[in-house]
Amino acid sequence: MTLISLAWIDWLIILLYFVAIISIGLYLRKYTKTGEDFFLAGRRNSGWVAGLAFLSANLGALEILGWTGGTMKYGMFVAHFYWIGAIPAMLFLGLYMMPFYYSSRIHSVPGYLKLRFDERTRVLNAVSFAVMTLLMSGINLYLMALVFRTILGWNWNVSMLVSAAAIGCYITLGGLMSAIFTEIVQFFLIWFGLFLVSILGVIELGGVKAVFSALPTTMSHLWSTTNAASNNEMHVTWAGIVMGLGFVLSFGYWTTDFLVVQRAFSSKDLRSARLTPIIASFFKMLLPFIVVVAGLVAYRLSQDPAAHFALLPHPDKPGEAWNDTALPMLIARYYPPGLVGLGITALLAGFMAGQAGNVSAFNTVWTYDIYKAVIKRDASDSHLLWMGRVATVVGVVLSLGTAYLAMQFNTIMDYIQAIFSWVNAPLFATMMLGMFWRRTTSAGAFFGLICGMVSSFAIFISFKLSLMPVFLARWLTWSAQPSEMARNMWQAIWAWLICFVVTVLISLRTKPKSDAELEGLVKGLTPTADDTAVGFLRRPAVWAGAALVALVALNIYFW
Amino acid sequence: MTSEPKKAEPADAAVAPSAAQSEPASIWLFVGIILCIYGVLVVLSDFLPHSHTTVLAEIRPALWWGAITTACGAVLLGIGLRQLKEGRKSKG
Repeated sequence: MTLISLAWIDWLIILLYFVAIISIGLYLRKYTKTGEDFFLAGRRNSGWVAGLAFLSANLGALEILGWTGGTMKYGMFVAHFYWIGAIPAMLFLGLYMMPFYYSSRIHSVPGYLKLRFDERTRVLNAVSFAVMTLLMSGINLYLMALVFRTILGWNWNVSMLVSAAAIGCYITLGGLMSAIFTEIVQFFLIWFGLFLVSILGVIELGGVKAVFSALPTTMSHLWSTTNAASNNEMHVTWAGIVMGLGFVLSFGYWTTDFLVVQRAFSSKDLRSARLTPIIASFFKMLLPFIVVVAGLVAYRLSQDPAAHFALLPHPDKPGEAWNDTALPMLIARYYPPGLVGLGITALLAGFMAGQAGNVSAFNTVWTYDIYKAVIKRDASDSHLLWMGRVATVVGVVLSLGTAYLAMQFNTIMDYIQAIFSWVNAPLFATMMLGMFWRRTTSAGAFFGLICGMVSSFAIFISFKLSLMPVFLARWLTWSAQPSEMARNMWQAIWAWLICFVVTVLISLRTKPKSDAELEGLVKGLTPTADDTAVGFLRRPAVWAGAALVALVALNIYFW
Repeated sequence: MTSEPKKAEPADAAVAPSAAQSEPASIWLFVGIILCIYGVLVVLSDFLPHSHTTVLAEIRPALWWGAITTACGAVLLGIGLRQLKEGRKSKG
């Protein structure tokens, strides 16, 4: 017995999706002749294409299902992850960091670390990033198989192998361009396949006001319940949200994670690259209208016995409802045949694009920052192109391995959020100091990064194994019993802070690079860009200002 | 105010120029085609007999949502076709 039965028209819609993405890969193969074509999509994309791909690389089904379910637990607080937890960092990347990334013509974020610091810092970040992407890719694949087995009764192995084969096929053929094309297709499929769930939910409950009026205060506000950790469902204060999520986690992810930044590198010029995250920020702000609204609708329905709405039981936690099934349950409730096919295809596209994004980032970092940097320094462009294709196939196979590992040891999934705070949070401190303080030295960056990563991991393990004394937990997190989400935020803050302090201290005692070596890589040693050369409405700063105004307005409205 | 680095192509990061002489068709063309096909299929599905009854079936979501999807797909298809035509013209 399965939750949703597919009619022939649903199968047709799903089949057409596979035909479309493989055809796109085949079509793009003839435009993929060099390493630049394969790894950076030929640097020919407009700000719009790169912007939507930038957003879509982050918009996997894992995130959509997870945050729709998360809304049932945390309410409106989930919107923080889309607003303060994303927009300021995206704007900062576009306005201040992108010039350093884009103009140095690097292939990857670790590539910047090599130019700014040294080879060891690059390799340290490249290896940790490669492991993170493979782990994320495999977990994404595993969760896709789990969701589709539960709601559609699909076979584990078939759904994992078919989607992995399709991804391997189109990325091997068209490289990053294929990934970007399918990510944009996925972006539209998610809106047309899933936004209707929220619309129908609001109609059933009697309008937007009716949805919010019956919610407890702890779930219906963004900021007014953050003065004390005990006042909200996430058990976090405003300081944790602003510093942990809004600053460290958010800036750490959006400005340094190569998976998303790679999309901006594919832009045709610097202005387009700077506009990439700024354009993406507008669409990011709209996503809660799918994710949070659907979650609130599911919460309201689950509280009303007359609605006959219940989540599926969690497969790994007996007796617990599985929040991640909220969206599929709403699809089953509202969608007739045809629309079901569109909704399932949107989820499938989201899962596959999530994996494809990881694989395309992995093949670049492996090829340029590990293979070329350590194994074969004199590799030609055609050899690197070949290696990129081999790395894609190997990356897909390793992801399958990680997926089966996750299936055997499902606790691996508990580490997803924590992984970001191990890798990205300290890296943000390194990047910030590297770009904005010319005194930062290579030794400072390397050892600061190691200390940040180790401290983040140590805090995580101490909480996980219940080794953290209560007084220390209260001191570290401003709460005696922080939720897992609050712990992740504070863990990121400490990782960033420790990396920052260690980097500064060591830098002050070691010899920095000369100004000539840092030209073009550090603020203060570069000429100032003149935005006034283009029309007012084409300036990145103007659009960033508009995004900031929209962000403030949303936060005030839902205060 | 931001700064624009003037450093161009450090030796390590130097890349070969793209060998592809022509540009691929616009992504909007592909998205437009896919949305049009899906929109039409969803509209058609509204007229197919099915035993499964859903909440709010009386407002026929497949019919109007399918129409909206088709219309948006048509707009993107139009943008993609226009870009394709402009690309061919500039090459010619």
